[in-house]
Amino acid sequence: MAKEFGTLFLFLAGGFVLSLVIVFVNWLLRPRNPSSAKARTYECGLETEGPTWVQFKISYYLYALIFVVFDVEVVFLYPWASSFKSAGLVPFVEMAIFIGVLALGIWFAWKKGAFEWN
Amino acid sequence: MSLYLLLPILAVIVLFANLGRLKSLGFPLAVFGLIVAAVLAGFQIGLDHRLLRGMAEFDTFASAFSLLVIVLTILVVLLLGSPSGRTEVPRAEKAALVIFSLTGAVMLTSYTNLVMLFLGIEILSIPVYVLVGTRKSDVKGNEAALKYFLNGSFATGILLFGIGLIYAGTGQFSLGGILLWTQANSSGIHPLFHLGLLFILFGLAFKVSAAPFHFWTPDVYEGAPTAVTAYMSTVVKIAAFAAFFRLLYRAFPMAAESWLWIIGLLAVLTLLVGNLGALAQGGFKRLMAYSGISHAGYLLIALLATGSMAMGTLWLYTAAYAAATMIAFVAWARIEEGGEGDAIAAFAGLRSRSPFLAFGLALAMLSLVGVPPLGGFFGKLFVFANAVGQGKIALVVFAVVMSAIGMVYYLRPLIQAWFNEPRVMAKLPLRAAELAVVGFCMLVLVGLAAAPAWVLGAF
Repeated sequence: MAKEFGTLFLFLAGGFVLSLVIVFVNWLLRPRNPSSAKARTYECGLETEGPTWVQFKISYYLYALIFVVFDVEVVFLYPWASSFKSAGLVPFVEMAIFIGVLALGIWFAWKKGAFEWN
Repeated sequence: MSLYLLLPILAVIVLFANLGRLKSLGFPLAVFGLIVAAVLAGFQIGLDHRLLRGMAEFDTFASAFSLLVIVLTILVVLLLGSPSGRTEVPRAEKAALVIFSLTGAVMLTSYTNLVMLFLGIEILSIPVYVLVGTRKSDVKGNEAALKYFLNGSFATGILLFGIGLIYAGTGQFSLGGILLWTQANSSGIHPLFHLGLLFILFGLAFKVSAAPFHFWTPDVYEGAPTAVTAYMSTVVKIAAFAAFFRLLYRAFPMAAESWLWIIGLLAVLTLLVGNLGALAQGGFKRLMAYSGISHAGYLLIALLATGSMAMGTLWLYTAAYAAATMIAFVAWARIEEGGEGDAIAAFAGLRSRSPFLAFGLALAMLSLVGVPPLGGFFGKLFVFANAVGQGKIALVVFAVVMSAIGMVYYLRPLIQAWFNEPRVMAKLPLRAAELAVVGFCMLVLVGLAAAPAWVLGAF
């Protein structure tokens, strides 16, 4: 078993080193002509308006939060789905309760306005 | 099974009642449901239930501590609902969060499987992370919530890693299974086992605010709303100590030479930090935080004893400590409403402003010091007697000296309340809920002192 871990480690190390090498070789080979225009913040080729460091919109965070919870729920649904036919009625009811509890969560988030984009 | 089902369902119902047309029903329903839960827990004492395919067990220890924790939660919820506990979050939601957290506390009193220990710690802590931050516009509150969350998650990670290492060392998750394995393989214990045990101890020591894992406690207790601080310093601590006791005596009694000295060392450090730290405090909630740390030290000494006597002692001590702390926090919540800052001097002249509260504060502070004939004295007496019976005489002498130091800082609020002129002349009328909470806790303090042997015998 240690041999498999060694192989895995080689893969990880190789991937890590390769990405570093690519970036490093790029840095060695590229031309170096810095100008003040190149150093400025990029805003689709136009001049920037107002401060360029703006506050993070909380809606993105809420969206990702709800996504993570239901992504994990889907992961828990996979084993049941793969043995659905042979499992029978009792697991069905259990999974229905599980999904029901998580649906309660969606309902709460909905009522609290977590799905409003503003 | 009843408590495991009742509490989460109650919390969900309270949470959703608050959303719809039954808005005003949510909070009273929470209190009523908790009283039902307390009655259920009381009826379970003496019966032994095994639940969840043997992963949880409601023996006398679990039922007694569940009852204690649920009753304390009722007191906290009453404090949360009073106008002194008002924040931007509606009180029914906060009550629901507290009941969710209580489910975790009940799990921690009755687990027989390390997975349930982890689940209990998480379910106990995560709603409290949210509750600490319910004063959304308060900078200190936000800081406290963030600190508690980051520290707590890190500690839970260490706990989980320890559980994994124990599994790697023994192949068992259940407490009974680990005990059997250590009895069968007393010679072939892998070092990973000891490392896992160490990590689990560190994870639990964090929750209990033992030194050197106490650094989050003063800031979090100070920044949280007072009712939440009351919850953290009573229910969370008690549940974590119950979990500690269960872990050490159901799973690792054979490995005692590994963890006895660690617990002793933690106790010494905790007592030092708690008592010496409290001497320097000017703010009341920080003072209570350090007081909580020092009592965690005494409770760690209580963990060194064994047997049914130890269970009763732990229950007695934590009940007395919790009742006294609750009185102190209700008093503080009432005074805090006046907006005079968070220094101990805000207690000035409480005797003329509210004699009932001043008397309650006196009972509370004296019980925390350990002055007879209050509950706190009997708690400390039995803890020290048990430790001496185990031969830890130097530790007990040290603890008694630290206890004497406690006299200095516990009496400061009392001197302010009883011997100083009030800075604000207004009378401080108590609302019905606060009266009930303080009165009940005073009865508990006196009652525990009147019949300590009965409590110990019930185990």
